[in-house]
Amino acid sequence: MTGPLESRFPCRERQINDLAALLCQDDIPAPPVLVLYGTEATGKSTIAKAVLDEFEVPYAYVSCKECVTARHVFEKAYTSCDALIAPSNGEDKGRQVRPDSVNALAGQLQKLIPSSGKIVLVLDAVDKQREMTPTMLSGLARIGEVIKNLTVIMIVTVSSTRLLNISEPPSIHFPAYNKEECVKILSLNPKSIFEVDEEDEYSEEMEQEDRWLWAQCCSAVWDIMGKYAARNLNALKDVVDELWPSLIQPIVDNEYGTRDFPKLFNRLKNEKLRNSEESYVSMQITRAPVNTATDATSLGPNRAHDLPYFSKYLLCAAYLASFNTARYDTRYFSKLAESTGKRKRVAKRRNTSRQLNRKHLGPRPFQLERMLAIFQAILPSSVLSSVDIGSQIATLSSLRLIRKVSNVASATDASSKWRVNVGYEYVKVVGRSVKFDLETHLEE
Amino acid sequence: MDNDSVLNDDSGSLEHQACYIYTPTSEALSLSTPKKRRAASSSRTPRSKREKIDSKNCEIVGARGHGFPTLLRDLEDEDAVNARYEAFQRLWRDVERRTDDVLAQVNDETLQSVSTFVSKASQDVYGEKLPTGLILTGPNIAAHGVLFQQIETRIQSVDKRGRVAVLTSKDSSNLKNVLKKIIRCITEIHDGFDDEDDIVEAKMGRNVKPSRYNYDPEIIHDWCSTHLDAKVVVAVQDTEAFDPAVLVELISILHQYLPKIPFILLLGIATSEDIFYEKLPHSTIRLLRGDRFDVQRFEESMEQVFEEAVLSSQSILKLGPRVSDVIFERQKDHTRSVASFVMALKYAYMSHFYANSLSVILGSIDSEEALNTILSDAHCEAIRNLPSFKPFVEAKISMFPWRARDLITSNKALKSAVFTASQECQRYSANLAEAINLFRKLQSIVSPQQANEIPTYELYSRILWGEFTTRPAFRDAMLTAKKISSEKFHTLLTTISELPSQLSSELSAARNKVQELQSEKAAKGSTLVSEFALPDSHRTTVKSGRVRLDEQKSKMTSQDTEYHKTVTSTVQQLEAYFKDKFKPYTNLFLHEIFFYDLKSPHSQVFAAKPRPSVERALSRPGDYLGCECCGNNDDEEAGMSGSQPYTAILYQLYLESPALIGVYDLWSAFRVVSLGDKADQEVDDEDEEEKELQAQFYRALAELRYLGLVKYSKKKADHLVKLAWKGL
Repeated sequence: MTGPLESRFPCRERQINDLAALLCQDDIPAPPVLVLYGTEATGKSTIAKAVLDEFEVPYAYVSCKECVTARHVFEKAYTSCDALIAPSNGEDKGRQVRPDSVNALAGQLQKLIPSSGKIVLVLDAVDKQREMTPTMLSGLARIGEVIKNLTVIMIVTVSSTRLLNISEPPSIHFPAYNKEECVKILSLNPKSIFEVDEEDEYSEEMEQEDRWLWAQCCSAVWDIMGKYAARNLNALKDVVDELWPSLIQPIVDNEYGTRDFPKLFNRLKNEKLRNSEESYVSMQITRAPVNTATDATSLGPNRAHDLPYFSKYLLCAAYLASFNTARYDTRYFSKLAESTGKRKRVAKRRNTSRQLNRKHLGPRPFQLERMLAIFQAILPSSVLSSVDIGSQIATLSSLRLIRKVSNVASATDASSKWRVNVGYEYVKVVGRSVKFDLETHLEE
Repeated sequence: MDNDSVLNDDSGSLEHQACYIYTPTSEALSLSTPKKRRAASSSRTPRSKREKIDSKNCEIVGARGHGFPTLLRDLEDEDAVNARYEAFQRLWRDVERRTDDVLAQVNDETLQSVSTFVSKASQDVYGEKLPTGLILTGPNIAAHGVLFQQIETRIQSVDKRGRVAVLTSKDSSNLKNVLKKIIRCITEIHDGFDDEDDIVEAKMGRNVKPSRYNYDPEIIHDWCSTHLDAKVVVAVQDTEAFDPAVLVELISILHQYLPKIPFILLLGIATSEDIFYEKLPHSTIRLLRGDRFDVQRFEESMEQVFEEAVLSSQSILKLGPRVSDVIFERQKDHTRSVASFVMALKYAYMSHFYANSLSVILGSIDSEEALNTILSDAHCEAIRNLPSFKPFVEAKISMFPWRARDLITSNKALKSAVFTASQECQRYSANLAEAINLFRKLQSIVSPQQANEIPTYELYSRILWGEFTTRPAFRDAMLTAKKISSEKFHTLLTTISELPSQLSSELSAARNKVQELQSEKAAKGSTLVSEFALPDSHRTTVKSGRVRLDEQKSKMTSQDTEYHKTVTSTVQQLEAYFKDKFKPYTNLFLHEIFFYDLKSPHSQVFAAKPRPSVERALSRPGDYLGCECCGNNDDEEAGMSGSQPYTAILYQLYLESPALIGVYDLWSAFRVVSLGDKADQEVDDEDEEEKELQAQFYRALAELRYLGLVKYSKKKADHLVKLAWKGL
């Protein structure tokens, strides 16, 4: 009975059978609520839908991720049930109903659903709902108890006994796939090496080659990245899809045969992965120019959009104000040389005590006035404050390079508190572009 | 007559006056309210109505229709005033039109690529990922609104690829509001986009709307079912300021609906991509896939605008070196925005035509008769008072003494001299622009590094000062021009001979010669080498170096010697040409009229200094009050005296005090200062004078508090916290 499903979804025989047994036996009533749980990309929703389709059980499907508010969920649940039961005539009268609580939903559904025949309401990713109220989940779970022939399937990431406040609801676990399973599933739809024309027959042999190489590629990528970048099936598929064209390029160019996988992969590793492995981990949006180091430098500072000169100093001042302690300001910013020598000894003593580096503690708020003082101190030549300085502070804050922490009405009030919002690396580069050495002014 | 006052009645007085008191007349007050209302409703008001109001305003401004004053101590004709106004309008409109054209093209490339991206983005390309365009907009916030407006019109109206919803950080309070805004932007009925469909949609909308929440993205889905090919573009103008939590939610919602609605996301990034990536979780970034678009950098667009607005021979009024230094320094240090340059340029035009009566000449340089009629006797007198008139006449004296006398005595002779001088000025600027262009080309070939470092607009002011030909930058360019390889020299000649200039015939002749020699030499299988291009000797002693040089010299063929001669003569020609064209503008008669070079209006108007002004007023009130009693001379810098205003005294005491100020200490110090000698007398609480002083003290303190300098401390009773330090 479940054979065709099992071949479509390998490695999920148990779950398919469980689902079929719980929901699709005509003579046995279905449980009021059913929990499907498992991490991302383990086939929960797909299999649930496929099983219900296969056995022709009428079901309404609501993806809670699509919903903005809780009321939105209720509305969607109601309208989809409505559409299921009265697909043609319900247009006008049904849509006026907007249940705005779990109770109302239960009441409306009770009116709507006929007393015979099974109906399933699938609530996908119900734990990812944006406006979660404490009673919402357990309320939704109990709708099935109120309405006899309704089964609520809740698809969640993690299941715990506290989740629905029901003791031991029937639940089916979808464990994460391991390497063999991943490769097996991805091998269902291998990409082809050669472009298949309309005229050419897609021969058996070619298909085999594709399959073999694809499987090799999948397992190799899993070995390299399975631990961190490609943790689940979808991520793995993304990476393989991304790498596939460059992997098969030598074959298309007739340099290597299709069975030279080790050579192919080594070449790929040398060319692409070495430079941009990091980018696969961090998953950049744009993939194009991560090429060689020489390219990056030529693009470097000249291409980038630049901040105005004083904005750069302001940003440096903000960083220093955030990461230096106010009482040592005289040591770092006083132009008197004599005061520095005297106080360095104090600093040494402080270093022996067990204290974390300021850098690791995160930026601390500072008063605007202090930042302005530091700004004047680190500038090579003094500048009269003008409207332009104020507007640059405003610009920096709307770029979120610095941000206001206190709730003072006026942004440039002297007593308002601010904090730098970018990291050391960025500020260092900015400082270097105006030949300002951040390091010498920064507290150890 | 005083030179300055004739020339710049208004800006002159602006410099010397210490402060102004603005007392709005009742008329002005009544005017200001409808103006405000008009600004608020301007988007709705039909054009004709607006124009009516405008013209009404103008009537009030004056019978002339403009606010230009009569200059030259009221000796100026009404016609001349009007002519000045018209000249301003005409010339500025011309410049504005040309700069607008340039600015419209600046973003064209970006717009084009964004639009292509939008049209190409489909499920086939990006699969399950949300197509995302990262637009690197640069940190100039003021330009972002314009850019996104342009993107919207481009995609929506010009290319008709779909609808655009532009979001700003103000909308990012929560997800519901963001979705509401998107839905409103998408489903709103616009003019000119698929009119027929819109009617259908409006009908449908009426049916569907009551059954959906107004933030339900299904509404867009309904809209999409009537607009099959249309893409739905969601553009976030300021991604940095957008609440990251909301952005994450928004992306996940858009991604959820991607199978139903062809969403495309555009993100404007002002700082850097790295900061953007840091802000979003990886799971969100993984949902996005797309491309990156760069907006033209400030330097490039600035260069283009400068060439069009200032260098072009069509712009008659040029910027002087001083004012352009002020403008571009401010650009570099503070603003970095082309729009602010255009504003500064407009202000230069405005103040020149407003305050310089002789600017009327600029309006009628094309015909001598018009010039003759518009120039009155008072104008002639003013021209004789120009600083550039004296050297002009003196130069004449030695050769044609009678002409010099004529210039001083006869207005007619002066007028014709003015006409020729204005022609001369124009020729000078045309030549200058040509030579600058040539020099830039030369520099970009010879030493691209240097060309990048000094943009045209900085070169411009250096050249105007007239010292540029003695500067190392110029000498370097000339020396390296000699040293470059023969192929490079050939390309150099080819490029610069194509530019229109006096030298083009000589240069192309030289080019032909070099080409000839090159082909002769190439037949022998070697390349042309001039003596300049010989590699420097690395031998340690002078003698051995010389020996080697001689060896190399002996290897040179006749073609090489010929080539060497050509190089020498060409570079000499170029040098002479540049030296001729890069003369200082101050040598010209009437340069005051063709080059606007007043620094102080710009620095005062564009970079107001409220804080230093307040501080100065409080610490040295004499500067502003100008009275005898306080601050009469500069010697006593921080002199405090009882005659000063009470707030000023208190402020100076405040400056001397530590961060935490005891009010009683402040009061006793204040009492000593304001009473002077009498302070030693016994304190009598009932004393009227004492009471009044106390009241003044409280008042002054309240004023300081109002200015945001102090606030009451919570730590200690009767203490104040110092909030602002002087000079920041």
